Amino acid sequence: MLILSGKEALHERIRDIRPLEKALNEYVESRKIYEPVFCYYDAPNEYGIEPVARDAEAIREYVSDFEKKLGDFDFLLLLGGDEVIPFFRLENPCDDADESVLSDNPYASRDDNYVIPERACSRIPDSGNSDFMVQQLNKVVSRHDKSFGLTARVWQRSSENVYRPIGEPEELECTPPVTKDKFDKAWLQKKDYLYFNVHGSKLSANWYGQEGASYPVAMGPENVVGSAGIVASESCYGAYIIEKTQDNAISMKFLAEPEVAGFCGSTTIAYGPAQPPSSEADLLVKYFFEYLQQGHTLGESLRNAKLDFARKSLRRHGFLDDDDTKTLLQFVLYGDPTLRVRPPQKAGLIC
Amino acid sequence: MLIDPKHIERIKEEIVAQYPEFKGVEPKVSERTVKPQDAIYEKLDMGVPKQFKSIYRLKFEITVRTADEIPIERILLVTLDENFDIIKIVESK
Repeated sequence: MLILSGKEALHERIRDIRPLEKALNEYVESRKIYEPVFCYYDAPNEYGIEPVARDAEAIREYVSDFEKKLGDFDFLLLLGGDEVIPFFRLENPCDDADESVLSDNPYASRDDNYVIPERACSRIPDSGNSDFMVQQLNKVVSRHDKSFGLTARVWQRSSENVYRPIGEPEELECTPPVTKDKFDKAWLQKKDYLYFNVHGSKLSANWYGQEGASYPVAMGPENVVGSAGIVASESCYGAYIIEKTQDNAISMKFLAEPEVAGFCGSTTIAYGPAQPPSSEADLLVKYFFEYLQQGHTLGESLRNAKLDFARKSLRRHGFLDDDDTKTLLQFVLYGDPTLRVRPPQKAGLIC
Repeated sequence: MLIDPKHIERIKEEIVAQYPEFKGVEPKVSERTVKPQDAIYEKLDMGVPKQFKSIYRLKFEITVRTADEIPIERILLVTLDENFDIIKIVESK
């Protein structure tokens, strides 16, 4: 496992980096099974790898150089937000308002065909706050055997399909009638999984429901206080964190909660079907939940979900189209990639 | 192959029936030739990729306002195969 950050940028973002470095040392000690190695891409290291500037391509090269020296690693943890380790700005395959697709996929891939990742990759955003980062490294998963899901009314049927691996479809709440004012905080507490299939905008901290031409405010950052579990959101810009903090991004607010272990979402405009069968964001999140339920780590679950998503799309149509490709690129994971909800499944013994 | 306007009209009717918010919206129509994606097939250890395929894309787009007056771009994408049959409908979140 490689843990990577940028010393200069991190210092600019959180000032005193010593508490984070201390927490990192403890994290490395506690994750020996993953053989973690921590380094700053812009500082000399004991492996003789040349430091690089804060540039996505250069950092990716640095990761590749690291593997050449130390051998392949399965997990990559990026420490810091876009100002520390920039997202890749990839060409947007879809004809929509996104100038580019913010993505971590190239960091997760060993070759230039980075639609398909090989590494389990996640990011711990900095939120301009050392305590926030330390908190992410110290998180553990408590098991509750309960889930929560919220869907825009118009996507109820398709959401039921996604929710099935983690709960009973009839448990899903719909918006409307759920709105920010009627939101019950207890819904998000003591859960293993929190699922959201709602609208989002990078102009707003809120998420939205839909019924016909009505788009009520479904929830905002203030609704997630006390929440717990792994969060997966299909909303547009659900994981968009450029110049965002926990006050104006639900993703960051979730991560600031002590019992939220990770957040999976889209950095840009996401797509999905109104009806089953699952495709695009629906299919990816469904697979993510399935892998978590099988005992895989967060990082493995998103990587495997992307592989299965691509296979399924190819089998259905023979190719990945524009929105399939965008889905694969835009979904990112925030949090410790080694956490898991269920114990790993052991291979069955044949007697 | 150009798409016959009658197919576009048929699809518009289907879309309005399922998604009334897109009533009166004229779709942007495009044709794409999808090349065999050998590298992706190879990376996924899958069999031989299918050959060149033509697909058609109808994009319906509107801007709506949420209850708190935030503008949201709503996009509905309809993908058709070579026979102009719908193979996928997706919408933006």
